[in-house]
Amino acid sequence: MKETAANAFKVSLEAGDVVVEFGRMGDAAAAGPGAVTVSDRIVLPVDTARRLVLSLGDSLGKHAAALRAAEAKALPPGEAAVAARPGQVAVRAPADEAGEKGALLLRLVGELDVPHQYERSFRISSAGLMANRYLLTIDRRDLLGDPRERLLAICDRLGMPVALRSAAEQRFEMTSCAHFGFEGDPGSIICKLYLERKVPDDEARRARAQGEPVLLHLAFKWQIGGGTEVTSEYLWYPQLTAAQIEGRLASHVYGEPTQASLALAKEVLALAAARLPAEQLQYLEVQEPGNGRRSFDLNLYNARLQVKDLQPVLYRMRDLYGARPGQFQALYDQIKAKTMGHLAGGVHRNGKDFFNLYYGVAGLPHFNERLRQSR
Amino acid sequence: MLDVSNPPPAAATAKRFAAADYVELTVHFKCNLKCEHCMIEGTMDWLKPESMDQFETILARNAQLRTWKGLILTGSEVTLRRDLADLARMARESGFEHVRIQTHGGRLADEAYCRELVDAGVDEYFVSVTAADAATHDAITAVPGSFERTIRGLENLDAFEGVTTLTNTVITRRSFRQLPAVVERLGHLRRLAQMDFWNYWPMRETDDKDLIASHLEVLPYLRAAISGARARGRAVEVKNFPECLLGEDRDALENDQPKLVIDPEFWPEFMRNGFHQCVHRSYCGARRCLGLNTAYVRKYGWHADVLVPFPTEG
Repeated sequence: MKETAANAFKVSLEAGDVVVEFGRMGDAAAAGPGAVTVSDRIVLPVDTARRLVLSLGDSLGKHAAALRAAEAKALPPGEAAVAARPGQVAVRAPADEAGEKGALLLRLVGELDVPHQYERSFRISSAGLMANRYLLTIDRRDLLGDPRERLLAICDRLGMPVALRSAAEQRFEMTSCAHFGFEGDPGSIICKLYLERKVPDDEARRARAQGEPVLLHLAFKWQIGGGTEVTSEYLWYPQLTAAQIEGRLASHVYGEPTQASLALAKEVLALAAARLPAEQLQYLEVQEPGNGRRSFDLNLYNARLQVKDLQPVLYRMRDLYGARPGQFQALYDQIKAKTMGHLAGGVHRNGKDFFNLYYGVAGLPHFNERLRQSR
Repeated sequence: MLDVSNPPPAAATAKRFAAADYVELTVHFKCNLKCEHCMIEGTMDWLKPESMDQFETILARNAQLRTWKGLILTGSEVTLRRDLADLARMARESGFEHVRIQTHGGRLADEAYCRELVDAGVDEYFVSVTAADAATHDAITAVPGSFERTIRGLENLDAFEGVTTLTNTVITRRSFRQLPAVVERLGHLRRLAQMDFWNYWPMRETDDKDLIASHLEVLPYLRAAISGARARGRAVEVKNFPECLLGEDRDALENDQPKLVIDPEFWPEFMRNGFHQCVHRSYCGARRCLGLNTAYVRKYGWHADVLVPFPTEG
């Protein structure tokens, strides 16, 4: 990315957009003194411009006293005293670190300047409700230059541990699609890099015939600031029937203490299987060497469900985990009309039974049909 | 980004009382109630009302440019100003189509005073109704009998042709459970065109008076009030509530305010609220949201467990 120094700008409104032109004063020898050479012309939707103003305000906050004093020099003494006093800059609440890191990852992926998919999720467990989670998906073919370096550079910005980075680097060649995951809650901030294989059709057929799984994703997950550091394997069982999925849920994911969760998972499966053969869903199991995680991930995109189609099940999840009804409703009402993505669940590495629900997948900056079809 | 599952609200397109059509002038800074949620409490004694010169300048300017359709006379309790009817008359004579007052409505319990104002050209009345019953309202205003006078004032206005009333109920810990009941209590008013629900902001960085209610607690009552008011044909405006949390009622959120002409000393105080804070602020596509404010976050945290950002248009 080219860096341009500017010491002049002009703002105008054109067809509902805010247009900011940047340039340098004094560089235009031919045009004479006072002329500005325009180097960049940026067109911003009004909403983006508003957010730019807010960010600029934040950035200038640390210089507020000096700026007020400088501006006050032009005022009569009485007005200058008022203008220069502190208190005109709002005191902000202490920043939420998870919010800042979540924004950073979104920005870094946005700066790759390639189409990507954005899908939010929430987790519900006995630990509570957590809605600051999302997944970003990038097609390797869209990345110019060295995809490995570009994606790992993002991981570096988010403090990926050295050993995990090295492992991801070694396995990068398998990558067809990459996904960045983010989970921010008050106790920990987890970032994830998923490397997804393109499974050849004959490999999937063989696996199906032998009742064996194939590796679909490797996920490298780390807690910002130290702590959790784990590699997860996502194993795809191709073209299982609904009965086979139910069987695996019962025998490999859920045990005696989690029968209520098993019933909920089976109910979601039944909802999807009522819309299309379960073989067209995608059933994965997740394992993490070295800990007791037993979980599944059921891809429901093809069933074309909306979150609200799962309402009765979701309310039972709420009750099962003791989420406050008002809290849950506040989240549910925001997302009920979104498309249903996938449901993950089981027993997490911390021993807690959980569900993750992914919803509302959308393409950024524009809808990318090729990416969608490749899932 | 296209997000067909979350279309922009349609109801927002037809606003009867568009903020851009009004200019708001602070003409009085005294009040005879002591509402606990008063946003200018503590500043009333030193904020200066606009002068008659300023008032006349605005009238002259609007007569020439026709920038605004309506003039709102506000400050604290403008009915305490003896020449209020004269001001209204001057505004109408200068060409303003509407003159509105913001009031607690107590003086409007006097029918003759109502007539005086209506005859002078005050055709819109924005009345503060803090709760659904006398006990709660009077506790909030700290003046016994104030609820009965406010209700009588609204009922008096109901008898005048050409008059429009609007109400505002400030949402606080004391009032939020009564929001649907406020809608019910005012259900008999024929001229009540719009009900506002302004979520309390403390004008400082902390909620010293413990009035801020949790958005999650307020939400079901607020949405019930919105739907109840709309079922009665009223327009609804909500201020200072996270847009995402309002779900399908998000079109009720309207944080725009008319052009406010006020003592410049007000703004440093207002800035202390510190609006537009949210964990999703830098990438949320919400257009009208004020986010959370400093005192709110300090009291209830960031609500990252439930807030969901809107997609952007990128």
